[in-house]
Amino acid sequence: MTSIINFDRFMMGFTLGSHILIVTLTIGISVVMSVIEFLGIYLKDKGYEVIARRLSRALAIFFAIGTASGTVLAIELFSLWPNFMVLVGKIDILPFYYEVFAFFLESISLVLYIYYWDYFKNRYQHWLLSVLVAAGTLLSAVFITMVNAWMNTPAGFNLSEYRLNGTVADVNPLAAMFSPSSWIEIGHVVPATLAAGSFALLAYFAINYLRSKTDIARSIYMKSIRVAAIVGLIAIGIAGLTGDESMRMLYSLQPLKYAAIELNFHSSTDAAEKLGGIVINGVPQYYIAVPGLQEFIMFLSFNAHQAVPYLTEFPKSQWPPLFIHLTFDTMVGGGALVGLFALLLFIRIIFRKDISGKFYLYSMIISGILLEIVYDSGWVTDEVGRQPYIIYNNIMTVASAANTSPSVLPLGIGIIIFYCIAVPFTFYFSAKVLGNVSIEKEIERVGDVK
Amino acid sequence: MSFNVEVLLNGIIFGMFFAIISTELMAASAILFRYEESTRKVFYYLVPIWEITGTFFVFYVVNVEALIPDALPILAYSYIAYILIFIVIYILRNLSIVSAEFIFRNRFNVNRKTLYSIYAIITYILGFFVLVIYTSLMSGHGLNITARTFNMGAFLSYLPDDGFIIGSAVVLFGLASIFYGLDVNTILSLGVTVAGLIIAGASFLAINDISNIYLMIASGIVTISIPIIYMIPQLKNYMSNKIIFQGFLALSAFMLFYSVYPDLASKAVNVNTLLNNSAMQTQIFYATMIGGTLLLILSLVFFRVWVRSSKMHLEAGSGEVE
Repeated sequence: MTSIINFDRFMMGFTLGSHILIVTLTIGISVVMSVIEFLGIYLKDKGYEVIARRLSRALAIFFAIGTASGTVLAIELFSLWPNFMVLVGKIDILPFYYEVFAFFLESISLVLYIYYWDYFKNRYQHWLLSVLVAAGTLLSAVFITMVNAWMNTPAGFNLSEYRLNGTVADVNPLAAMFSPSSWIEIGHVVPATLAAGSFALLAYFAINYLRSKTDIARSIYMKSIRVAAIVGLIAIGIAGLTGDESMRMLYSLQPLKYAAIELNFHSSTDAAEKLGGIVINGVPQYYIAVPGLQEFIMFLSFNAHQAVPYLTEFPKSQWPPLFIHLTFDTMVGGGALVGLFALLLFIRIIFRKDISGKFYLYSMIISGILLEIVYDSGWVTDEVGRQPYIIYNNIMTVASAANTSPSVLPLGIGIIIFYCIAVPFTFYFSAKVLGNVSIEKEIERVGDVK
Repeated sequence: MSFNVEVLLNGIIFGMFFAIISTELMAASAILFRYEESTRKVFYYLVPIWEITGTFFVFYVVNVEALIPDALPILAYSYIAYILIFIVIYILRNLSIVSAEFIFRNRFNVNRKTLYSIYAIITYILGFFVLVIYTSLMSGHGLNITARTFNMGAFLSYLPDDGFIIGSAVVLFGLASIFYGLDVNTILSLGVTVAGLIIAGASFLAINDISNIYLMIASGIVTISIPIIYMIPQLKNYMSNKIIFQGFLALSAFMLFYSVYPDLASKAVNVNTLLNNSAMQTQIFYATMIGGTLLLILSLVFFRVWVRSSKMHLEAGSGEVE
């Protein structure tokens, strides 16, 4: 039984992890593409249009596969976690429901945007469609994050009654939708997703810049690099600020997760920040301790002398796996590093300094990859940090939510193998489609490139 | 007959979902049997619409989750094997059509017809799975609600179950030439549609305890009126309009859906006993109204652009989407 539950958990994590890769790209492309097309129309520079068209083709592929994997997730949610979805259906299905309409906004606008590109004589009307596509992708992220926030800080029903008798009473769907952590999570997750997507695109543009053989192609890719870097900087900046707020939210609403992330085993009023480290025989080792830093981050003072949550104040059976301390450090450290690099790029762009040196271009490629790792680390920290609960704070454990039918195993393995083929295929195919027609040929076709 | 506004909305969404998925099933027939003609008459409609079909599918799934959450464990355990197979086939469908679309455009040395044929066959299989789950929920054959299992062998061993699936496929096969304006004798379309309706209708009567026979008959009349209207020269243009055609199909599916309400599995399950709490029902109603208005506006914009663009392409002598 336990092995099937773990398999359900692995399968969900695997498909979500794959879906996330595609989603970050979809969100990043939709926003950057919209900005690029606007600049092209406003500046009457067809070079931007060439890039926007190329991005739209990639977006169509990512959307097609993203729709499929999104549908897979929608089906997996109720087939792998039926008891969880019963509770969600009764209390917090509203964000899922609104998300479908955001999905419609994205899909119908995208179809019009891609397949009827030349139909619109007024180019601003066509650009408006890209805004709707971007709005659809971002709103989808907002609504899905709302469900996640509810899983972390459940609300909108009588929690004590449910814990006592397992019955759902006093349902308030709006309170569930806007649960205590929803705005903070939205403020952090949505910009972080956009940042990961923008930096992945930045890496793609940098690779193509390095490969370009003509000045005009390099010029077009450099314009795209500037746009992706600025969008990425804004997004990662917001994600950094709201990330700080998220930690304060954990402190008050999910203290156990906070304690696990910080590896606080015992009570302390001047807690040190532990950088790195692993737990061996219940004792944290091989870490660098920065005295007072945790206290400062949490209370913005070195003399607050306030206690922080610690693990031993909770039953050990409720502790999440403590490796989330490392995934958290990866998220913060990697995110800060990429953020600083984005700031450097921004300063150089503003002062019209050259960013086409190999140091900058290779750093862009590394940043794109690193930020995907950072993003996934953040996601793992959030989800694993809630274990053993699927809905936090004694509402529902993962084990009690799972589908324990043995039929899950063989077919689930088949789906995982299939994903291992489908996801790389998507990236390979997108690259092929984008690379099949050289940018020089497209420039020749449109003309008027500045 | 009892009435519930949430079930009514679910029925409407089901009707719309059925209408949109039907266009793909009809396209699959056209692609397999008249490929060359399809490149001119089917692709310009199919290529933009197939991505929206998936969205409608998710819409229906989420609406069911919101309508009858207590039924989810029954569905999840009973159909888990088929749901997971469905997932794999669904991804294959997307992969095959997106490959067909972009491989053609970028002139890779791959046969586009093969890819579209794969898409068509996969679409048939998907349609089969959807119909199996829908029909078994209606008839209850093969479905053990207490044990939460579904036995495909037992389901397929009952002739009317098979008859409903085959009859539905024959109806859509007959209507395909009308929807896509293929060069097929209209008498033949009518004949095939009538034959399909007889098989599907008789089977539906045999597998269900119908709550409202008039709705079922009306569903059949609406369906049969499609080829009949198409045969009348003065009215042919109306039925050539894809929105009107899909409206007829959606209405027909809705009435068939509602003819057995409130029962499932041959009266073993009463849907009304599984409905969600009233607070959630109210919010879902508002959400459907808000989202439905947005969807209506987007659909109108889409069809306006699509109709104008199609005319431009047809005048230019090509039905293909660039």
